Amino acid sequence: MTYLSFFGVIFFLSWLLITAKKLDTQRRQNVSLNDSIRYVNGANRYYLDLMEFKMKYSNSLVNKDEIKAYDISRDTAKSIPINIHSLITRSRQSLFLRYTEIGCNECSSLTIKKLKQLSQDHPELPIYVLTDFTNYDAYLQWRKLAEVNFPVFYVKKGEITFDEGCNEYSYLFLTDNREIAYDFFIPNSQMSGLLDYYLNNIYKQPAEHGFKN
Amino acid sequence: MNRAVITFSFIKPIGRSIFFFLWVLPIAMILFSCSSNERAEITDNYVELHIDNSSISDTLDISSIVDSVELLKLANVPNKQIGYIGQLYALEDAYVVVDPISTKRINAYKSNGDYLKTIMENGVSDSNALNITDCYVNERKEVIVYDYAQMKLTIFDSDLKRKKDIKGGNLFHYNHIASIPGSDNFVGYASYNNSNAYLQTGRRSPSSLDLLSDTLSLVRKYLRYSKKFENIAAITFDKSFFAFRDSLRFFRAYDPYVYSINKSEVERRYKIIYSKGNFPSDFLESVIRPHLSNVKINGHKMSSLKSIYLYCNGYTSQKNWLESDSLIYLSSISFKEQGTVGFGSLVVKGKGTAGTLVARNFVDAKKFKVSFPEFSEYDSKSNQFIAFCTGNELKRRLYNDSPLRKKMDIIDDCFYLVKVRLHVKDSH
Repeated sequence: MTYLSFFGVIFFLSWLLITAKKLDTQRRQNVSLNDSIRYVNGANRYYLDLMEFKMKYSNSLVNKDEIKAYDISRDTAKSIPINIHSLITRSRQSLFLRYTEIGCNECSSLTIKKLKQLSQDHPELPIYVLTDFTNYDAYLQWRKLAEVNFPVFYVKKGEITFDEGCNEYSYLFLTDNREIAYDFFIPNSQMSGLLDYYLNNIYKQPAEHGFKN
Repeated sequence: MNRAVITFSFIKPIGRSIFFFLWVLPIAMILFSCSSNERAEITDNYVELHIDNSSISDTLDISSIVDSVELLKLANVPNKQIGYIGQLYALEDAYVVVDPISTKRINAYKSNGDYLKTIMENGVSDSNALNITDCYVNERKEVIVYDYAQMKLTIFDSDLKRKKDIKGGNLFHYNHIASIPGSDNFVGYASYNNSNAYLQTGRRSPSSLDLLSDTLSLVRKYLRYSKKFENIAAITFDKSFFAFRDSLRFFRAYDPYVYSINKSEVERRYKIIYSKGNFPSDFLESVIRPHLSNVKINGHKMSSLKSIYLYCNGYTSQKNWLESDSLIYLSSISFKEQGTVGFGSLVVKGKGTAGTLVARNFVDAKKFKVSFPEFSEYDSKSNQFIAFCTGNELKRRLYNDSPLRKKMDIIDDCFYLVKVRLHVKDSH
């Protein structure tokens, strides 16, 4: 009897160990599964935000109210504002990057890099950066690291209507010379292919807004 | 088979006792010891530091205790620049600078400010780093780089040669990891928003301070909190650890205590008591719990962070802690509307409240004529408190007739170190 109970206990302990091991393996699998679900959820949320943003603001008038832009491309020209109207109407089509100080650094760094390439390939397309830096030092560091060579203007956060919908992310949009903004896009460094797709297709707009290559 | 079942069902009383003592009790004891071994208490052995922040002056002239001020320009090297300094460490003959935000790069500079090397950076093959946001220099002047995406530490010797990698088996996420002086163990700090409870599946309560073995496995948990507070948008600072003699000081936002960690124990070493806006010891229960749903992180929306600032409005928290044999430099922030206002305190050890200086900016208005930026590091070898700022900020901080202006050209977007030696008479 004692002999049988001994084997029973051994059996019970073995079962306990095997179950614990199985549970641990399952837990590890759940952790990686949760990571995948998080990634997919994040991607879905990004697409949804992008769609909402685009639908909400496409074909809006940029300059309903006068938007003051301070040219900070050179350190010495910080104080005299211009109306953004004068930038938009200079060319048939212009590309704007609204750069927000907080938000995804990698996303905006990648965007600057791609915009430089775009500018090299299509120098006829004016590209402007509108920043909302509240700290001049932070702006200087950003300019140093990104080696920005586009005209940069300071526009106070919230002064552009579209700022409300971007969830603190930097965004791109096109304008035509009637001051209509369209083709909004929020770059995401985790989905850089989508940014390539966006920039490549700037030149495939309908004739109304189209940019002639 | 039937016989075995019958045997199990009708074990004699004496057999049951043997069964119990031989198997059930040891198992229970093992389980209990595992559980209690992971949980440990923090001992109270603290000294109160009273900081009068009821009316803080904008500047305070401390020229009477300033021995020397030196400026050092950190060289800008193409493609190896930094855009933000989160942590600064002084080695024997070099400075280590960590940029966890703009470039995720850790650079070393010679004592004359020349670029020495990039110790590690994300996305570079020989670094093998996925996400480096933290670094620590221990008492042996070894540089420990923490890659939280891989739960990996890379240790460089004092000559900045790669010594070894340690990769943990579990992917816990910490904000900062440091080594415990005189030991091969480490300690990790995780704020409430790091999902550590999720990563530590099966463990009952998450913790903010974990003792880790030399292989980065979890040994003991300190500063546990209820799972309901996990994922709140609490702020964290660039540094949480400071090595002082054979101890490691630990500090964090919202917590009035400065802890001391050594080989054998964790103790509350100092309690900071601000005259205005002191955070309560039970910050989570009294400040956060009534607004829990508003301060939980919700996707990438900023509303939870804004809520934290709202509910912390008027409170003051420690931010950085530096300590020499005779002085403590404490930087603090007061939450004000949707931002914070910073100030510094210099505490002369052993002099109580009388030896405490508080100001938004400490200045030397007589000899060197400079307003000091917030100190970020203490170099025990040279006995210097070290601050950093950009050239643009330095120009504003130097008085027009400062003799330091003549010593070098100041470039707006370069980083500069401001090294200050302070003396205190009759400190003990």
